[in-house]
Amino acid sequence: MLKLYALMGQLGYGYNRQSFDEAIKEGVDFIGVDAGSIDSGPYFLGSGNMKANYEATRNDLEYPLKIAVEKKIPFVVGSAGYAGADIHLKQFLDVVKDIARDNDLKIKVAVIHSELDKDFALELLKEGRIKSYEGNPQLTEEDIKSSEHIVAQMGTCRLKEALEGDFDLIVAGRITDASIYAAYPLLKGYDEASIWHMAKIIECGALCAKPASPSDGLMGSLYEDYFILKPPNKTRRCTVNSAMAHALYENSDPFVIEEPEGVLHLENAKYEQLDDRSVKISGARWVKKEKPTYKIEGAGLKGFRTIAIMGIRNPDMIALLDDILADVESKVKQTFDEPFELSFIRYGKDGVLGDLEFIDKTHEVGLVVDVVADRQSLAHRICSVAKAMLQHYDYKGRIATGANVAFPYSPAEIDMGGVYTFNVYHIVDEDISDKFWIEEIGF
Amino acid sequence: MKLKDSVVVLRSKNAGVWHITIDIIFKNSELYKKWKAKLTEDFFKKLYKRDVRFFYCDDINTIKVSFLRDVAAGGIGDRDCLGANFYIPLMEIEL
Repeated sequence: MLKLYALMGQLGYGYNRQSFDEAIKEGVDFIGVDAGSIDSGPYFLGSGNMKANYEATRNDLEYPLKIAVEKKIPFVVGSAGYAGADIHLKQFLDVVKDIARDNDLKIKVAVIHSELDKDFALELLKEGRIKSYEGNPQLTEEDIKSSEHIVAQMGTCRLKEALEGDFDLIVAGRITDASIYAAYPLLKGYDEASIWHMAKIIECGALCAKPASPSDGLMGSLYEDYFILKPPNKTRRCTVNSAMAHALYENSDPFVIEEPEGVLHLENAKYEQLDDRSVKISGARWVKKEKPTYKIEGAGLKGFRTIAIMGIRNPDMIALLDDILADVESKVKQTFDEPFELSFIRYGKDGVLGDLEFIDKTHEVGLVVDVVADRQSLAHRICSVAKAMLQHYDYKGRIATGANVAFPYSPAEIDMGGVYTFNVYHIVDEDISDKFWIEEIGF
Repeated sequence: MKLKDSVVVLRSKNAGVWHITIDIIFKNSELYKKWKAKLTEDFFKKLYKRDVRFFYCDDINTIKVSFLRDVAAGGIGDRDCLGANFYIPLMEIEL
């Protein structure tokens, strides 16, 4: 039997020390934590910034890492620094370095890189090895060239290699969430289907428990051909429903989950309630691919954003808002020769759902004026002009000849910095595992 | 009866940066069977104004629907980076 502990759903969300201590007391063979995602959009991959800043990362990493090093429990952090490019790994390792220094710890680290060289990506494209994915746009040379960073989501290959070495900590670049937890039991020779099914569920920590939380841990115990889920925190429990619901989470297909090295099939998975707080799961099927395929991600800078936020409460102005905004947009476009994007988000009217909105009851609109241009100063100027037009817009029936809108902030224009988009989100149908490389660092 | 009263889970979320996936997990198999007649592939195509991938998961009383976003998550023009609000139009649907 193998006990794998998922520290939390995502590093930086705050872990639960009691749960961790409880798990350690019970005995843990492996500690893993996922530190990254693409959920927050392309900004972090493009800008190279970490989402969990130095303080958040250090807060969640320091104590568990110290215990893991002392007790010699393998510790893996996946998608370190959030987006997993080399620049993210570097910032993450700065935190590890400080933890080692301040705790007088000797830490031997394996760093697995997964950033791809652009020339290599272009080569793959030329050879026709990059496929679009379930209908997203075909990749172009320009998409690759204009990406700030391109990373590939690794599978278990290099992680298994690193786990066989004598390391206290393994810091992986972009890697699939499940691979973080699958590599170790694969090395130990457990049943592949159970491994992948369990890895897929525990990677979100206590998000699959009741009450759900991404900031708490989950224990997965792996047996010969089944596994058991149990949260160490006694106020939470895993139920058949919570575990099943989580197996569907964030996958477009409920029964088929694709990983770089194979495909997990859940049609015949069996969930049984063992006791109040634990669930026994079996019956998944794992079909190994002939050769691995990898998802690649790249983000490019598309400009700089300035926004202004304002409230509109006058019902006569709200009634005419469609026309007013169309008119302001056209006037702003006539004012500037350089290219830019201007859009409005109308919270209170259709701000969240856009054209899917089905309720027409508006008494107040929170308006966001959103401008993206090639440089910050231009975005700022355009936003300022649009804001001023709305402030003084002389709509039909206006009786208040002062300002039309309420500004919660001064200055009204807020510079947001760089705006990025996903240029690359595609599949490479070639074994590129030799491009992932392991760096050994000692602190 | 409203859909929101028949479910234990009704949620939407990104599945990768180009897809939204909606999970509708019913309280029990009777409710699931009753709603199946109404919540067809065509129903979702009309509601969300696009093609969908559609799954009945009979064993777990679940309907799952996935579709492409107009804009990749977090890109210019996206309103809902996590795709967390796409289930809202379903809440008040009556059986």
